[in-house]
Amino acid sequence: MDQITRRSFLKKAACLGGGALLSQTPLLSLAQNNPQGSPAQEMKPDLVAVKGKDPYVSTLRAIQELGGIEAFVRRGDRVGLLVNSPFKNIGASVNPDIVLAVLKKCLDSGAKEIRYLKDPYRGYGERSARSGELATMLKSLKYESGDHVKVDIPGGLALKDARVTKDLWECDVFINISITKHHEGVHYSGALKNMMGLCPFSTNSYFHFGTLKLGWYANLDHLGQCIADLNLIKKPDLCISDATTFITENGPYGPGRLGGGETVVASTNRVSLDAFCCQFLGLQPEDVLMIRKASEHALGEMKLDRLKIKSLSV
Amino acid sequence: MESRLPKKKRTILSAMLSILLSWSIASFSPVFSQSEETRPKEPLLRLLPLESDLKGWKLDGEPQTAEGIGLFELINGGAEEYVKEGFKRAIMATYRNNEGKLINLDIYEMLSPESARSIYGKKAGDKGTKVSVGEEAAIGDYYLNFRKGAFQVTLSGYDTQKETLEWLLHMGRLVAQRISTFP
Repeated sequence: MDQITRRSFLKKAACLGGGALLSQTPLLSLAQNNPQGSPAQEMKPDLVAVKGKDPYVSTLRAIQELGGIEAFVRRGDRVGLLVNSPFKNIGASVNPDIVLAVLKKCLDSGAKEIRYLKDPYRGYGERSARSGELATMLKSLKYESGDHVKVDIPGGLALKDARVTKDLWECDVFINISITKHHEGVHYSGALKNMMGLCPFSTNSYFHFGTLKLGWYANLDHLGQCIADLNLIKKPDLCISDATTFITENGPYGPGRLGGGETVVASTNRVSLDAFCCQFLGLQPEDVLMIRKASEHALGEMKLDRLKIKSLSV
Repeated sequence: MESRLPKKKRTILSAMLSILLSWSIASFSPVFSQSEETRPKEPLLRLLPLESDLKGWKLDGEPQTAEGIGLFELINGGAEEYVKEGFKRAIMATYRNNEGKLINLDIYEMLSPESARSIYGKKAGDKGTKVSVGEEAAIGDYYLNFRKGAFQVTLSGYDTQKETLEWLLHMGRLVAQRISTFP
């Protein structure tokens, strides 16, 4: 769980001036016009937004700005990737170039094993123009085992336990790669919602029907609380969200009208990441129930003016 | 799920949840509440355009199918609206051309033409440009929705090029023709 410590509070307070200035700048210009300093020469940002035409390049840069992959993955580590990629429609799944960039950095860092925590749709990796060039790398990726274990969630308010892929507990590094997109039920889907990908249908059904109200989205308060509660089980080491091209309607499956932020966003905190990314859909963090509830669990900062946000173009 | 409750109560809750889920699906979907036709089901595979009618396009992998609640496994929360409106079954296929371009084809058989009209209205709404495919159709930047009889069909590409949109229309019309002769 992300506890706000005195140290992190002071660090954030020190960044408040810069963060407040940035927060008053329109989102897209934020992603275009910021200085590109070396992370070694300044304090690491809480969140980085990299705007560019090539999601692969943007992802490499975003990781670099958070201290480089070596800040997360050490030689011999087993890495679990939770990628929102079950749907084939454009803008409904993470651009595979983003996953390839993460994969490359993890392998460069000496990761022993890299595994999908939720399998993508068939042929997903091959849809990248780089899949030929990076074919060997793609083949090294392992698929989910399909085994689930029961996990107790003592701090959960609506969800006290859940069945979760056992692969999550066997990885040393957990990377959550989501796509910023519209969702018919909860309006916004990102890193927090992506955690449902770890659970089987039976657990996810409880999120929708646990209060015995009829309808898949009949009780959004319960659904939002369950998502926030599920996020208590394990903190991702790194979160990346694809805000390059995304559906702005008919989510989560699509197809639908597309939005295009041309931006890859990364953070070590999923609440902050979602709080930033929901703006691409014209939402404010407080409009999104699961962000509010995750913040109430002290899982992360949702107030953008309290974060050090670095935006740049590549 | 609720471990705050005693084990016996949790078992009861779990059983109630299963019943509720089935009841909920059944209440949304007349597939469970109306009597099924007695004739054997015609495979939806017959609605897919033949590769011989699609110059340079081939099926990319095996098509996927779903019936009733199985749609949730395929398209997750996207299934909600279909099930609500009266979903029967679906087939989903992807075609790839010689240049590696892809087009996705999703064919949903609903329980009635009214169900198809209703889900079409939700998927296409008043968006896109009206085109002549089936009984009602609209094309967006990279996708086409149409309906015909008890079917609602969605085709989607990965770019907005004119050629891609023309292929969406061509494939859509082929599917519409095949629906006309579908028993």
